[in-house]
Amino acid sequence: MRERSDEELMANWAAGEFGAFEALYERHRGPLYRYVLRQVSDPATANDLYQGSWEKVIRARRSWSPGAPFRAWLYRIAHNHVVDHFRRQRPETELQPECTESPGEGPEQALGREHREARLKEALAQLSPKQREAVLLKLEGGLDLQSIANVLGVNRETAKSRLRYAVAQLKEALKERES
Amino acid sequence: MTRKTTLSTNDRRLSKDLEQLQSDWERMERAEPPGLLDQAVLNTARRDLESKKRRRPLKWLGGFATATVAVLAITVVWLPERPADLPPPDATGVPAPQDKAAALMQESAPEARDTAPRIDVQKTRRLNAAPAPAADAPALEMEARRGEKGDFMASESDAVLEEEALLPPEAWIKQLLALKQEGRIEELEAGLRAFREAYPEHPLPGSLGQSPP
Repeated sequence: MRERSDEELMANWAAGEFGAFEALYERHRGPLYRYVLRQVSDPATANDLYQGSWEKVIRARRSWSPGAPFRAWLYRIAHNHVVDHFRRQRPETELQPECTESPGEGPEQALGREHREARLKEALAQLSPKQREAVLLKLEGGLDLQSIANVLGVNRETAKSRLRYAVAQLKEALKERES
Repeated sequence: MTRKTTLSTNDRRLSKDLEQLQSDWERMERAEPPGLLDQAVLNTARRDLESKKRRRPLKWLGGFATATVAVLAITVVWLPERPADLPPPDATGVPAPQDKAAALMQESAPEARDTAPRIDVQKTRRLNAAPAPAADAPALEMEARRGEKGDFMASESDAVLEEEALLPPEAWIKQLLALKQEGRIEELEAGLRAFREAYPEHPLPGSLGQSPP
């Protein structure tokens, strides 16, 4: 049996099929959670923002227009929710990560995959919030360039510029580790 | 041309870097939302759908109520147009306000009534609602009652006269004697005149001897 697309599931959910929402949720729960978690680094805050994002999605399902790409719509809602959170928390240091480093884990002490992961996380935390979000939308959300631009509310070239810079920084961080 | 080539080279490099980064990224620990969080989100979605389903009957009831009101309104509009539904005239012969209004309408514009019944209905309503006919109605009713009362009193006095005329002379004389004893002289004199008219030959007792002229 052919797997239903996000948009088909969304249309069925909007028509009242709860199973369609379950399928959508199962498909996007992990990537959306990591997208939020990598921006705030604090699991408790990430949980709140993740749940709040889905609640907004549930409330806004009637406003979803059939044919619109579901994934971009979902991440747009989550993006707005996270931005609102940072505005409420610390308006003067908007979109600053709450934690930049995993405690007790440094690049010199770890080996193998764990060490590489730590470096990647650290490099991600050192990116500016805008660049970090652009690369997270790509790596976790799997969005294309135009969808990233739509979610962030910028034009395509700006989105590409942020993505390019973020990728270069992350690549450099991994190269340092290998050397 | 060179700029376009540079752009496409940069795009290709970006795509290549992203692919490499994606493979590194996917080897990272895959954090998942806690199970309780999953349950909370699914419950929220379920409640939202159920609340929507519960609201559906209310919509249906709303439509039903609207239809009922519409039917009632149409009934109220069409009901006065049916002459059979008008109340019958009062037993006393006094026309009801509706009848009076209809009579007025017929007098004023019979053609209009024939050609535009809907307008007539509105006229009827206006006339019914107008204070003048409403004020006339009690007056007519009182007049009718006056007529009733007058007829009743007339028939009552006629009956008394007939009763008196039919009294035998002895009984009548007894009544006249009683009037004399009570000192009701005027009534006695009138009674004696009537007696004499009724029974001119009948003798009167000595106490009533002095008959009026």
